[in-house]
Amino acid sequence: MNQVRLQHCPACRRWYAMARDRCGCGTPLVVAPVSGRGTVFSATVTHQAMTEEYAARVPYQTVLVELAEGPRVLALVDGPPLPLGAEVSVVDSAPAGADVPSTALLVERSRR
Amino acid sequence: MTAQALRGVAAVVGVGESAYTRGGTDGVTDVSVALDASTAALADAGLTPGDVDGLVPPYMGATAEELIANLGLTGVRFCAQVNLGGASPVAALGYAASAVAAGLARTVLVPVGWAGYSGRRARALSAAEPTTSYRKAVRGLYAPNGVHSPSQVYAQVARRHQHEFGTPAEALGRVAVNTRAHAVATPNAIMRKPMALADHLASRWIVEPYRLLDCCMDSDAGAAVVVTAADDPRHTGRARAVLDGWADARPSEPLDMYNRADFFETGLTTAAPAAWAMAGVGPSDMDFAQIYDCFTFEVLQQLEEAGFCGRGESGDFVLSGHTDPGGRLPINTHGGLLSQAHALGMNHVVEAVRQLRHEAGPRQVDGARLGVVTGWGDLGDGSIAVLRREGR
Ligand SMILES: [Zn+2]
Repeated sequence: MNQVRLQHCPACRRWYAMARDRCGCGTPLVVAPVSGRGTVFSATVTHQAMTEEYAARVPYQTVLVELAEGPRVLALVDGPPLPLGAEVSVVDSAPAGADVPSTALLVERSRR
Repeated sequence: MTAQALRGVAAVVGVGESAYTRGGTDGVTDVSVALDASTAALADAGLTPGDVDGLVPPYMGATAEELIANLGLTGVRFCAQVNLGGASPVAALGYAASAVAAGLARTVLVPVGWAGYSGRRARALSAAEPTTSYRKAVRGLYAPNGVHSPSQVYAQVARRHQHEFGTPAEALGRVAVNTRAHAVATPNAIMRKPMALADHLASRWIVEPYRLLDCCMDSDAGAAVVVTAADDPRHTGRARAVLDGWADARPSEPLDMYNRADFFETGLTTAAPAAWAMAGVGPSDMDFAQIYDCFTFEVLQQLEEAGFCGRGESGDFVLSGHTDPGGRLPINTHGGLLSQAHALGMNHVVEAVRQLRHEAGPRQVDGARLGVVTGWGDLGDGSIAVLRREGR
């Protein structure tokens, strides 16, 4: 597990969840770690898997987390569903030490 | 020239549909249903393939070249594609009308076709080549967190709306039930079994807060329209649907559904006021609304963003009965994407035209004179067209 890393604009200080080529202000973006702390802004529970990969996993919750730094990111929840408003911490589920940040995020259950 | 100068210059003079089916027919493809609909629309307009000099091909499925070759369109000189996902067909009306107004074309064919049952289904499209921003967002950002299909992408917005405004499941259900009631009165609708609210609330979860009956269907469907000048001398004298206002827009953060300063903003948020101003009328003047209904909540959200009610008020608006069959604003009088067929929302345009011609049979809105059609696409792209009856 790694810290979540997102694109960040050093000029206007915006964070971006969805990768892009440059900030809307025209500045090249850098990738930087975020705290991972945030609150559950929205959430859904999928009952019908849309891919074979997820067939064994249903039902599962995907939460939309509003990070302390501002941007909202999706994250999978392992275990019982979380209510909206819950304070959570999310991590990058890529193997520890991975060079490239992934967008597959997990809610850390232990640190509530 | 202002947009208002284009008010009323063009009209939809022909509409057509393929058979709406879910399997049981061999050889149904994206192209075949688009061709069937095109042929029907030209016949309805009293025109021939040789008359067509403008073409707005669909954003997916049949290419311009396939349409030209298979329909024998020998004179196309204006051809432009609109890429707004499901918002494309309604937006295409405006581009066709603009071409007519500019003298770039006299007769514009606007077809769509999607063999979404026999061919590629909606949930598989995000795995297709990531050629659109929607597919890029799903593949790059959402799918790694178990969000693959439009139902899953949009459900996050629906759930937040419920949380912020208390929008009840019964409001989503009311949309589904009303739409089905209209489908029962529509001969070519696929889903015609009557539905009660209890049926909706008992249907299985797909992705909370969407149940099965909150979701549009996979179907094989094509629909097409023909646009000419409103005063084209070839008109037969039959009533026609004049385009008084139109607009389309993308949301201010077009790459990601979940990171807008205003979480509920869609393309319609800016497109609707522009279209109302262009048409010189407003939501309360409408006799009906055909609202892109990929899922029930998107109907509620568009009612708010188009100005039929305030932000957060759509639940009360539909539960008050305004949008019931026979209410002051009937919605999706043909059964929509939920119950008629998924013709990418062009079936909503076809129905609007039939209503304005007073040809809608048992589901006819009495004396319909003004109506609106919306489109919704991808990460919340929006389109809207205001149509007016002209002629006897
Ligand atoms: Zn910047």
